[in-house]
Amino acid sequence: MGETLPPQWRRNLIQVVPMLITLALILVAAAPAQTSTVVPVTPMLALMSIFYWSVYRPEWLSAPVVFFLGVIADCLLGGPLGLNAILYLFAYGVTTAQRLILQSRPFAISWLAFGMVTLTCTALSWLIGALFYGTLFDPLPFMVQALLTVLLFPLFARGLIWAEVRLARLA
Amino acid sequence: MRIRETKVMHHAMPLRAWGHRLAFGLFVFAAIALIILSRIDQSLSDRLRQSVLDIFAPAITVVQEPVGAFNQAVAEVRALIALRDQNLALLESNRRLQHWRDTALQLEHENSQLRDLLLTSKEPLQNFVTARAIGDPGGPFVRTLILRTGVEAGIDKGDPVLGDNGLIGRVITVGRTSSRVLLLTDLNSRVPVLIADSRIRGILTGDNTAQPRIAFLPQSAEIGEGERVITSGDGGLFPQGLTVGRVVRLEDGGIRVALSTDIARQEFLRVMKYTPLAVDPVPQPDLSGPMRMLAPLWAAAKDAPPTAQSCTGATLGTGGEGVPLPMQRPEDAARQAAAR
Repeated sequence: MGETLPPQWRRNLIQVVPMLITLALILVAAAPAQTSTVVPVTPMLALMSIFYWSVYRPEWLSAPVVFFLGVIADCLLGGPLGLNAILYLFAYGVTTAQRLILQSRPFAISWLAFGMVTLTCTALSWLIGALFYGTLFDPLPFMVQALLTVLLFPLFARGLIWAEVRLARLA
Repeated sequence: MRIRETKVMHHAMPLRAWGHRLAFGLFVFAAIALIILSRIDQSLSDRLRQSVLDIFAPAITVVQEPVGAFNQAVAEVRALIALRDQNLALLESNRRLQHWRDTALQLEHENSQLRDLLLTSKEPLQNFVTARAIGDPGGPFVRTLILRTGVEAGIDKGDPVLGDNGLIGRVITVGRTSSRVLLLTDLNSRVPVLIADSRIRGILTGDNTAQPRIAFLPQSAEIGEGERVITSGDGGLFPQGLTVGRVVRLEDGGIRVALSTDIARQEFLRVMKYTPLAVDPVPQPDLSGPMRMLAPLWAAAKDAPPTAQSCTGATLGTGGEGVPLPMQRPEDAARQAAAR
């Protein structure tokens, strides 16, 4: 994939692809899919991508990009404007700080860490939502969303590993 | 290898690391500011949302294709399995509906004749725009849909949106080629409704659950389960008589409504181009045409308390063909004179 490209282009590709993957996941989350019949929620797909790149390739995804991805997600997905920006930055900040612990460990440890990040993000989102709208939301949809996100992570991680390997060959 | 690289970076470029941290802090601050700003100025965030949505609507449409194809494939396999039973059921339902259609046509005709007789003001014919639902952001906060239509198709903020079996919500923001629909189930949705059999009015109030609540019901309201709920048209925001759903659950102090349209299964929706009614402060009956016979009645009713005596007296006294009546407007009298 793109091995024949000039070096400058390759570098740009590396800087852009992780962002585009995250953006695509935001768009997928915005499309109507019946993922859950219990409550109509879709998993936080973009969070998986942000977590993954923050652990394994933090230099391919920068804080400004994470912020703008969050704002786009806010515009498309609804909820308080800026909420996803905060959540994505939080996940990015926490994960990049702890990435050295996770990088050399088996995948299960990363999965566990992702679970903790997701749970914290969900709790944070509930709290900000409650403050923003002035109502205590039913926690069930939040829990279902967190659970779906954590359960689907290994599936999406496979795709992300594949993309990372391809991109690493270009670097 | 990777670890060594990052370690080297940390030692060689502490300044750069500080720069990163500073940038990170700034963006966290910006995100918090954005939340506060959108809390203060709703219209600003609505505009931003809608412009971003307009940019990404084509991309969402593309992403939505495989998802839609998957849903359709599942539905088709299910339909194939149930083909025979479904066919029988459809034949039966068709026979029944044919009968209802005849009844409806007959009643519609009769209704329009009676309306003519009573000179009921005609409700304007409604125009619809059909649009594809491309987005259903499944967040826990809002219940909205994204439609692939906008100002270019002539739709407007506030237009009612209908699914196969009735109202599902209204347009809240409109862009050039996309728009957002606030569903009846959303926390912010409030729609004046009428319980069709009991003739009791209330406000359909969304609370992010599948079945919205009816609020502001009279204390003594006696409502039966399964009663039809329609829009009341109060306030002019929605037209009167759109099907909403049925009363399902009676709780202490409140009832809930099962919407007649399954929102999750809607691929195409109809947007009703509806101009909210401007309420005329002084209602004036149109007393031209055959109803001018009743003009004295109206005059008497206005001047005196509406008792049977005053009404009949007025009708006998001044009602007559060709006599200019007190309540007639000058132009009506002129028109009558010309007709003679």
